Amino acid sequence: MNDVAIHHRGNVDLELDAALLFYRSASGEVYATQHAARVVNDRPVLLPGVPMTLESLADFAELAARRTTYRGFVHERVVYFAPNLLAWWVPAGKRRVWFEADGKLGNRSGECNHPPLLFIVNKRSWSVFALRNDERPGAATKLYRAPYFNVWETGQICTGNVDTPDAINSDSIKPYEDAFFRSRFTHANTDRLIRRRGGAVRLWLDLLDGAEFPLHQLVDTARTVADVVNALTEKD
Amino acid sequence: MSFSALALPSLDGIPSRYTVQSGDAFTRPFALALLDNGVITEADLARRPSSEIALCSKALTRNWREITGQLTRFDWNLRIEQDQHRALDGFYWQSSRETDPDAVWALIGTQQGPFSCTQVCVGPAIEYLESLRRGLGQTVLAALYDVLDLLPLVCTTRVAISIAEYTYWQGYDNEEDAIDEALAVYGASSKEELLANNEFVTARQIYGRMPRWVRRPKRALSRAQVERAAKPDAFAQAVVKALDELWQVLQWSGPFADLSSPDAGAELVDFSLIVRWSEDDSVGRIIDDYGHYAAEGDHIPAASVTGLRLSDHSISTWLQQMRATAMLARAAERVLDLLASMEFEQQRTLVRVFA
Repeated sequence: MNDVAIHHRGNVDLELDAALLFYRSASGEVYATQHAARVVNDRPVLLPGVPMTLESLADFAELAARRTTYRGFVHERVVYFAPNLLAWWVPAGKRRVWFEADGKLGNRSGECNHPPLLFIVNKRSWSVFALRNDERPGAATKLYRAPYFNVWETGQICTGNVDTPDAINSDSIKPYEDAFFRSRFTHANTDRLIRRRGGAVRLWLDLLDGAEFPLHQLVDTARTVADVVNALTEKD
Repeated sequence: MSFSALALPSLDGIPSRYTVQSGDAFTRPFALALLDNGVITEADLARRPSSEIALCSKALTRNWREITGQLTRFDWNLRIEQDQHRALDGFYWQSSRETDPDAVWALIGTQQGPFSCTQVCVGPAIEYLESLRRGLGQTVLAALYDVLDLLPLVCTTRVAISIAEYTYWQGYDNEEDAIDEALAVYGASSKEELLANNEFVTARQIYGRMPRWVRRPKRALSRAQVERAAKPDAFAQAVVKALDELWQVLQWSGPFADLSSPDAGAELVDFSLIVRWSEDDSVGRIIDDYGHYAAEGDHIPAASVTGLRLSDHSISTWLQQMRATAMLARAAERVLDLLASMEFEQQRTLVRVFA
């Protein structure tokens, strides 16, 4: 008798096993206890706990790291990568931009020169900064304000109704860049985007007319790549 | 501070178990694909199935039994694999389409494990045909082997010799070159020293009583020559008639499924039938050694692997082509039945009695 068998990944059943309780002081100290959890009379209950030891914390961290650590090919423009945080740079170059703004810019669009940029994205926000030199930035590289509409003083990008990728990894670099450059810039979120007469509006009108990007007129944020990355990872 | 008795903190509202529905990620699209492909019919739903996978299994089993129901010698068990990349069941296999969620794999093989298929000996019948006219047995074997090559892997004497060259002779097709290579590998200064101190499988051990042409049998005779040679012999006529019927199926019943397993990416370690020369030939040993050798690397315990897609009609197309392939296999079985039957022996006895 010639027969048939179908092999596939089955469902995975997970039973409640343990819980970690964290106690946090106002000044930030953390104390953790580990509790077994069991079902008693059809109700899940916590059993008495024990202080979490360094060994059990290491076991937990290793287990979590299997899921959170990145595995894959490293994108050539990635500058920093941690679970749920990605920073990458974009060399200076010509790209098309679209405006849908009031005043002189109106609905103009066209190819124009852009400065080198650094994008940083985490679970909560998405930021962009300009760089003075067209080279891969390091931890100590100074960051400048990205002179784009819809970008706040802090570098945070106002996403509005722009679709952004669901995941943060090397594969999401292009979708993020597309989301930024292919959306319509509508308004400036801050007054001082660039150090020049006529501000950002004059800057983009000149750029749309083919001008070189004036890197010497970028506004210094007084922060480095490491400053910004560290601030974001601490919040995580 | 409170000194009241401690109660176990209850986790009301916290579920005590989770089920990660990873199975559904495959079974549902697979069931829908079988439905779209017409594999699942109304009859399969007459009684409510216990699960999607049970429904898939029922419908596929019905189809597969219809396809293979007439086969008496070939061991064609169908195995559907979701994972192209498995480290389960003692084998590892990574194909070129490992991350494609739309891909499903159809494997055909034995039920009892590699090389557990039926064996059939054709040597005496082929030698008898050769005795009628030189080249007749070789021509019959060449024609038959060409058809067997279209089926889920069949170990013919041709395949066995080629496996032996691969396993024992570093791929060389003659003993002289293989010895030269082995002399260099083992650092031996002469053939005698090599054979005395190392295990070298000689051509004599590989071929035994088999003629050397079994390695690559040719159609030595023309159609007319075959007919003339077979005419005075009832057994030879029956073989030629069975081959003609096989040819008819080959001509008119296709297209046949492509079972060459181009996407396998690993050694196939199973046969759907073993065609031996005789029970005491070297084929058993060759297969056994090859099985151990292949199991050390990436291998698939199947006689064919075909990649199918869930999003198109490749499942129904493949089943339809397998239906045609099974007709071809059945026609090949009729030739094999004759060659294995030793009917020519009875015929010889009758001739002697009535002469």
